[in-house]
Amino acid sequence: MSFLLDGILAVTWQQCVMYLVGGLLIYLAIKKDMEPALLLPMGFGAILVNLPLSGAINQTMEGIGSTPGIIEWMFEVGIDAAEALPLLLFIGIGAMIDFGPLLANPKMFLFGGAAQFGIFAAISIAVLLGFDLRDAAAIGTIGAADGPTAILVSKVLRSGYMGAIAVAAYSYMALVPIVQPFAIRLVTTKKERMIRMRYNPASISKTTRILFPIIVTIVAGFVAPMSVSLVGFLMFGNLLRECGVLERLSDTAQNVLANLVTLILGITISFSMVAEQFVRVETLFIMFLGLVAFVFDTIGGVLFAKLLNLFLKEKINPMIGGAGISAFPMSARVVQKMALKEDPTNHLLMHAIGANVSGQIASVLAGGMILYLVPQLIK
Amino acid sequence: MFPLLAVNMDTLMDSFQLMGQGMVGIFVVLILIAIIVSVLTKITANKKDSDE
Repeated sequence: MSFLLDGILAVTWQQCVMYLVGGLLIYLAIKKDMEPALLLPMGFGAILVNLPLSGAINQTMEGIGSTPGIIEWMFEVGIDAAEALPLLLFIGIGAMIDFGPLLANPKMFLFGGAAQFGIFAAISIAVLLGFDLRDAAAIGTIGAADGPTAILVSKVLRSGYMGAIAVAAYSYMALVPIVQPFAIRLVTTKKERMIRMRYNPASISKTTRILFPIIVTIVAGFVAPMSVSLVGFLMFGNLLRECGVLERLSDTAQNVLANLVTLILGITISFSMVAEQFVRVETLFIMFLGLVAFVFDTIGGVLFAKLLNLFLKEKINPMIGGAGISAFPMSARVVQKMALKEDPTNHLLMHAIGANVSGQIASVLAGGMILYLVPQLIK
Repeated sequence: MFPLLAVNMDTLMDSFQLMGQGMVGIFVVLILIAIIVSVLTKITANKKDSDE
């Protein structure tokens, strides 16, 4: 009857750590409502793939040879082969986004760009910590505040830290309401946080709404060709939404497709949380660097707004710059809440939403830029 | 063992270059898009009613 003990005897301490990590992710998802759609499947998957001799991943059995495991197969097909899962998720995300507040106020595009600074700051700090450029770039992309982009970049750059990067990306996205107020207060005064902004949106024609996703794809494609898959799928989803003749497909992309892919992506990404790959000191550094990226994203956006204020007659509330990260709509809500706290009659939500959706475009552009530039720098 | 603080200066310089080129690239694309959107909004402003 000793075969009943084979599993227990094969457990390593690293696998035990992963059970705790998995349990923690499930706890955060259920009790703290932190990105439950992703963290819960990832947490359960982390336990699943780390059970000794787990049948969920490929195993070599004596007398039989190699036997395939479902999670490893899903990883190979859904992520490893052509990054299908994160890209398909972008169709759903694109179909969910209303770019109206951004189109009505195009100067908000700038804040999406400025708030990507944290990605590059985190890359440099990761290099200072001893990571090579390829891994540092993958880690920095946590600052895109966009889980699928972080997963895709780490996959394409063949980083060995995809599991830790995915966990950090989704965890910090959920922590935006804690991280951003701290970072914004660090670089603004109360007087600056009380600045009022008039909202005079331009009226947007349906033609503009339809042409917008096509224009973004073409412009991004010419300047950063590697961003085309990311930007293109995001904008394809948005075109479904705005064209007005594909309501059923738009609805499917926003709900069924997005939910299904999210479900599968969460459990699939857990393959990269196998104990040997995850339980190492670098994971702690990656968690730290993810925080650095989010803080510098926010500071970059806020300082850029303050820089613009030096030249503008009608001042911008610098907190708007902090809303330029991709975490939608949490970041816009954080700014609105902070503005109301300083002055209960100061409503910045529409400005903040404009900057926030700009951040969604800018973050995939940043991912594309990294994929385009890093191979040139390391060759 | 993970080479903590084993900084390669060439890699650090590369990371700064990546920062410069990456941020410039993002801003160039976004500014181009913002200009096109602004022009498009002006051109199509009168069409709003007929479109909707």
